[in-house]
Amino acid sequence: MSVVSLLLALLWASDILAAGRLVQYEPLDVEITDMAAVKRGADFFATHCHVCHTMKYAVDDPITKAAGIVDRDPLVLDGHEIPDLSLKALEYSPEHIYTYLQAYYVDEDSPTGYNNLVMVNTKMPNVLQALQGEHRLLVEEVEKNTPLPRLYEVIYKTKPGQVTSEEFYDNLDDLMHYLIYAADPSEVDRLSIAPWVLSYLAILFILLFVIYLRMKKSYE
Amino acid sequence: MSLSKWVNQRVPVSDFFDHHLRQYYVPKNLNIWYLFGVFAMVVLVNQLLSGFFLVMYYTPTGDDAFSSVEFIMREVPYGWLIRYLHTTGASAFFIVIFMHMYRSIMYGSYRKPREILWLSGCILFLSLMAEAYTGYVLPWGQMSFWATKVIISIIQLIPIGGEAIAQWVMGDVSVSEVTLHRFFAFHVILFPAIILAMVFLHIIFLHCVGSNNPDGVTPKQIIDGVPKGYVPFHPYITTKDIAYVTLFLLLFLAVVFYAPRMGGYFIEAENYAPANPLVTPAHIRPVWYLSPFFAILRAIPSQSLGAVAMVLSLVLLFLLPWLDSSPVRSIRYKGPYCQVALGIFVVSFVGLGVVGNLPPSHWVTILGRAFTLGYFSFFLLMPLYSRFDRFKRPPGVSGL
Repeated sequence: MSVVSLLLALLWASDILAAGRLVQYEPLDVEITDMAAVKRGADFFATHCHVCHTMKYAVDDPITKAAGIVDRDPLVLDGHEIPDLSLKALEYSPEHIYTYLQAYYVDEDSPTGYNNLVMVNTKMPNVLQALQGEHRLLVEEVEKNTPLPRLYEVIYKTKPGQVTSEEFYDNLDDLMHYLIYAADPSEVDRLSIAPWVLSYLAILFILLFVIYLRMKKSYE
Repeated sequence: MSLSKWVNQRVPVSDFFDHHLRQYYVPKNLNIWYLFGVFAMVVLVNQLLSGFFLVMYYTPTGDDAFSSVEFIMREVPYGWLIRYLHTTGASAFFIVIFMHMYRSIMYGSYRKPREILWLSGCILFLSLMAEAYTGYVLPWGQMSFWATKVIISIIQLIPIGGEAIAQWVMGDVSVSEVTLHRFFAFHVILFPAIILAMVFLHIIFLHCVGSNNPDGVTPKQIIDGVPKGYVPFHPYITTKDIAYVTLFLLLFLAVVFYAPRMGGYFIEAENYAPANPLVTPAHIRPVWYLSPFFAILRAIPSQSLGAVAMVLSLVLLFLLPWLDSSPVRSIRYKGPYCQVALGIFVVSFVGLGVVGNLPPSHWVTILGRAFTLGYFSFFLLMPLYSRFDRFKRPPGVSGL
């Protein structure tokens, strides 16, 4: 019965993910039909993420292949498999990943030297640090406030990176284009087919409705 | 001899179509609430067809289930369309059926002589819940796995035989890939067969007693063998249904193309991680259409009583024809007590759906209990408030 109780208790359990986040998600606007951005994102992934992460379900995708992302077994770090990222944009919200990658700050107590405001005590090292530069907290400690603060309200840049902040955000924006595309490539097809199918049905509905009205009149 | 004559001498096909289409008469005042039956038929056909193609590629094993779904989404030509038609169809089925049932409740379509028609519908609703739930398990994602654990643990709460039933359903000592394979069998053979048989009976029962209508009255006057104010099903209703079905498909496909996951309500975000018995998701929440019933389970402080309440909330639907003592069928002619009670029912049911999906807090618990009380009051107090309520005499009815 204890297992039963535990499982039913899960129905009562709160959302740990939401509870763990200390900042608001940064707004993200992704136009998935922007294939140039998707391709740039795939290249960015191949250079910066593919060292550790895999794209298991997307490896046969032409854009993924062209970027040099290959099928291989996931790496294991401290007994944990490094997550496959092919579906992560659907498992987490894209805003979550986008903000997460911006939310590292210097934390001497952390084993990697950095901590994160979106996923506190994350195991992933701050791999984009060289590109982005370094941030420190503006305050002693970020408390879980309601409403949650924006990122710029709690961290500030202490060391510049190889690219400007704007270029860095553009890179992340491209990366998110790719991750969203890779998680569900059908979206590109869906958006291109939809207007045709829906217009066809709309015209058909109007014609059929006129037939119905005429038929209805004949019964009055 | 013509082919039709040859066939009709052996099997009276023409008579059948006359009897059920051309000379089957329905009230002319059927409004848009009466479209949800045919919408349900359309969704059923959609589920059968899309399901048929999914089964060609889906593999019900622990190792391959999740990746076979991704294979369908990416490699099978238009596989994404087939799968999204199926997943959107599942949610659409419940939207349509909730409306269809609400129509019956609103206009008293469960009242004499349509009790058996209503009961067959209730059985269909339960079969549909079982079908949807077993299907939800098949992608073998995190939410598939852990929601199964939760449902199995509810079955285990049944005082007599609960453990044995749970073990038979699981096919193992805990939820495993044996369970997955078993649920596949339930989902593609057992429940579809039950649903098809019940839909057939549901339509037969309907044609035995005829449609109710928004006024809830049956005309006494017959002109040329046709009740006054009635029209033949074909071409009147067929033309109307085909037009509105097109509109329904337009809305349905708009969802399929633009929002197939519906922000995590039609396909949950957690289900994009493969099932992992070692990692519990942060927040297990029921899929939206089962949410009201989970909210009832959660509202009761004791788990076993909560499970009893959840079962009772479904059993009460079956008893509805015998709980209603009003002299009139339709809410149009019922008095203020019945109208307020119906309002409370709608608010409670929608409210339960909302709180069932929220992470728990003080207010969620309080609201969940208030809505549970509202839901049960609608049914359990109905013999009283419907009997002592005022009512208006429907037009064209002398005695009741």
